[in-house]
Amino acid sequence: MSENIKVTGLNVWFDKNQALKDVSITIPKNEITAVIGPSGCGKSTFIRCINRMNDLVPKCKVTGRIEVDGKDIYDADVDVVEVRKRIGMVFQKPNPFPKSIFENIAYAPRIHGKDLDPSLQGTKVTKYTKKELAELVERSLRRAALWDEVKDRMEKSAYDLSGGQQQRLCIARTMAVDPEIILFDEPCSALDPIATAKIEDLLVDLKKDYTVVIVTHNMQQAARVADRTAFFYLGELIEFGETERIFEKPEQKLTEQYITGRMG
Amino acid sequence: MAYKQRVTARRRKLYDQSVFVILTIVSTFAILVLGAVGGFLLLNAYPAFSQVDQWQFFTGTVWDPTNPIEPLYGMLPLLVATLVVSAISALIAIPIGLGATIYLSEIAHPRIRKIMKPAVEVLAGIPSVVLGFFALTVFAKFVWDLFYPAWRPDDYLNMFNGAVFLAIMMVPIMVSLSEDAMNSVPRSLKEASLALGMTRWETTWKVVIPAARPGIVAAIMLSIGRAVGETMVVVMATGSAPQLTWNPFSSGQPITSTIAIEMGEVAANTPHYYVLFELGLVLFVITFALNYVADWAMRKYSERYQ
Repeated sequence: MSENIKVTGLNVWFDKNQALKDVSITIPKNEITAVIGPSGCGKSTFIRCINRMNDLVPKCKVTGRIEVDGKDIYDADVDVVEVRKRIGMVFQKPNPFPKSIFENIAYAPRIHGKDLDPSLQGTKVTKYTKKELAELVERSLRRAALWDEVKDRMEKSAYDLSGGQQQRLCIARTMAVDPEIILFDEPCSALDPIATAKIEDLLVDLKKDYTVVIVTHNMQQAARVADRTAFFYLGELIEFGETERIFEKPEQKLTEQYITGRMG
Repeated sequence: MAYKQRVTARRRKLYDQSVFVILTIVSTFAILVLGAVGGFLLLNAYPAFSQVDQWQFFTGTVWDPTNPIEPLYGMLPLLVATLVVSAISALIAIPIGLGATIYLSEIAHPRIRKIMKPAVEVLAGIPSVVLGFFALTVFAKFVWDLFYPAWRPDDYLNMFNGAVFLAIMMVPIMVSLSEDAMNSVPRSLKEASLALGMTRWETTWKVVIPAARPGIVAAIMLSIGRAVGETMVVVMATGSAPQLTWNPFSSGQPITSTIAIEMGEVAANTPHYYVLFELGLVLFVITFALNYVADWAMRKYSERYQ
């Protein structure tokens, strides 16, 4: 396993409440890592630190290191926009833009442009041509297993899609920016079982190309899709290991209580 | 027990029905008032249709209703003054209003917003006569001397003078309404955009403003409606000379001023009297059209998105 995200001594405060306490975890590349735990345990706070979405929350303070490919994303010289380009995020509730299906995908790449040399970190950028943009949109939608369902109505509003389709649109939108890591914050909590199954299939397929971190309150979902599982409780990382082991032979009592349904 | 429940159920139903009836009466009353105003205007303007040459009214370039030999009722000077004053005030107020809206909803620190938004709304409550007084005594002189001797307005009191103060009245309405529209854009949309690596500015410009556009357009239209209908500031500050000119630095006399100034002096049931009501009718149609355009724009933009 090669490491992708290395978190050391992460503490998060919202005003005076400490939401995360000294969390250290190493998330491997091209695997699915699930984050589970009861409500309020800090699991969402944790993944929102990885792409610095917590920067937007007033009175939020973060200490510790989050290294992505060896570089601390909280360093002073880091451009948060570049961080979020490399680390995409899919949210709890599908949140397509009030634009057409095509525009939802094309929105970000059109503004970012095409990175000619990724090692230069977005300093050499050119605009996508119309044709390239259309190809990119198609590729992203195909990758999210949505193309066949929407190819005849690309100009229709994204709000015409069902909840599950909207969520796959949001995944496609994230992939169009070409991230390395995709964070999922309870992506299926607003979806029915069939839509959920489609997203789960997609997740498993995505790990070939991306490192996936998924927060879920659904333990079966973690068991089904994740290679590794982390259990959070009251802001602390209690246990982290291969999913099978966590579910069959948890080392910690708290983990065992949670997965057997005696807590949470 | 069962009997008791039936009583409360009946009472609840009665309550529901009476609320329904009261609300229906109240809202019907609002429509009735609107109809009554329209009807009153029409009724009083009606004699003008026969007593005053309508072709002259709509195309005449001279407004001289008190001329003892041949009174002239050409409304173009008044209409043009209304257009010039409204257009200039809109040109001033829209950029300032939008800028202030974006600042308040996207840039300002919450603590600053908490102070500034009520402050802006208080600005909307300044009586127009106070603004007019200020325009008349302070601002007119300021502009008069600003570039002297290189340049001076054609008249001491001019349409630009009034337009600036109309703009001051428009901005708070626009900011208050469009800030509400921008604030009601869901946070999840902003987060979606930021998570794609967009900057705050790109997010504001490409996601928040488009999503709030129907509300912003409505805010602009409503504030222009306010400018078209405002009377006191233009009576006091624009010079009240009914001359046909597009030059904003000349005196002008918009429709509202004309009605306010002349209605007090005119003898009842004369052609002049009826023509003033016809002017009111024209104003009514203009504001009605503006509201209709606002409504249409709102529907057009929101349809595309839903």
